[in-house]
Amino acid sequence: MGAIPRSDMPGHRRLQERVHAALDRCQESQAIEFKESAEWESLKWGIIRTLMAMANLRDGGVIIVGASEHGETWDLSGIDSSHLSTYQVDEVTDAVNKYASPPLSLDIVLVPYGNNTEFLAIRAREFELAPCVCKRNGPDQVKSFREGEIYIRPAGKAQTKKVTDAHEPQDLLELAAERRARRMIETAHRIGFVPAAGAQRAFDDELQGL
Amino acid sequence: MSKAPARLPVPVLEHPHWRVSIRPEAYIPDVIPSLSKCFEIVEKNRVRFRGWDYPHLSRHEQERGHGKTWVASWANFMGHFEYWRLYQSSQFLHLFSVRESTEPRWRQKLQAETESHLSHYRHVNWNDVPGFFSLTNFTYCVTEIIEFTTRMVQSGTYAGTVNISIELNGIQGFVLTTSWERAWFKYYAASEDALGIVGK
Repeated sequence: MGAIPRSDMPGHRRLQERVHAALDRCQESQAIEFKESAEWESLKWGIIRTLMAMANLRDGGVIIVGASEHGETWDLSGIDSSHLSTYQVDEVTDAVNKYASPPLSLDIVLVPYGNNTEFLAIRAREFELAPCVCKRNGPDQVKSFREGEIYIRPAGKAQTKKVTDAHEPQDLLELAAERRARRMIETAHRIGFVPAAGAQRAFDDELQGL
Repeated sequence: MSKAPARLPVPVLEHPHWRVSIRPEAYIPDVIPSLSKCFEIVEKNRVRFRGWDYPHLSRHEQERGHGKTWVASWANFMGHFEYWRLYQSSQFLHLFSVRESTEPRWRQKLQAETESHLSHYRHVNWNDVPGFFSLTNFTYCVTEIIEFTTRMVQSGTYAGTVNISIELNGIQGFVLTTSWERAWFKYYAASEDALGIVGK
């Protein structure tokens, strides 16, 4: 599949707002990472690892290709068209999911911003039930991928790292437990195990007449 | 037998006020594991579109409180009264005054603007109108409520269907109006004392 959809399509509006907000502020964060415009092959490993870490965040995260920091200034010149042609949606998705387990849900869109400037946004959505784990070793020249590793984005930092001590994945474990609990509640509702009718009364009682 | 309503630290119920209730579909008494987490949720999800956050989370300890299963914060600031509670069940209740009514200068400004807009309604004695309702403020308030709810859903506090109830109380006779730079020709007054809407 060749064409990368543009973010002004209705289904991508929220992602576009998120990218615009990041570009307006020129601010990377735990959930936002900027990359200087380059071909897929040269950014590939960094992108895959970062997306795997972002999938382990609440609400996921976005990589924006075409923005970079040079000393004290920001270069927001967007993605070069010759670089853009090296990104194929299927190829990027396959490359990520060759290493990510469970497979990641990705959105890859072209985001217009400013005058005739476009940025490539790759969003990893938050994992469904189980956190993302690296399922295989990278090639010999890429030491940063090891089977069984879990990558995270530390709080408050635009940085990707593997889990190295028990304290680090605390938020991740909490999130996973929450997702499981939510799935259980939804299932219970679907099969009629949780009677919704009684809920309103319970909420009313809780207010104690307030 | 239901208990008598709690006495609130601010007189919000004694004035025309908004009553906003946000509830998830299922009642789970401790879906939020702790009271400190309740404060943290409001801190993270409150909306700051303008000078006053929604809901307002006071920085002063004496304007915060808690019960066995809920946390609360309130404000009494220049005629604005506000009180909210977030329960561990994730039920959120918010009471806040109709500021156009409780802030005297705002009331005066809206009255002057309405008199100018609706000068062709010669039979109306504007000093007898119990209150004025700013269309702009109304839009802001509803937007803030919806945005706050959306953020609560997105951050995982609510799952499944969320019920939102928005009520306005004590507003009989209030006249809808807008600021002077907008066109406004009709006289709309609330015929009911309480108006509300429930959505999912």
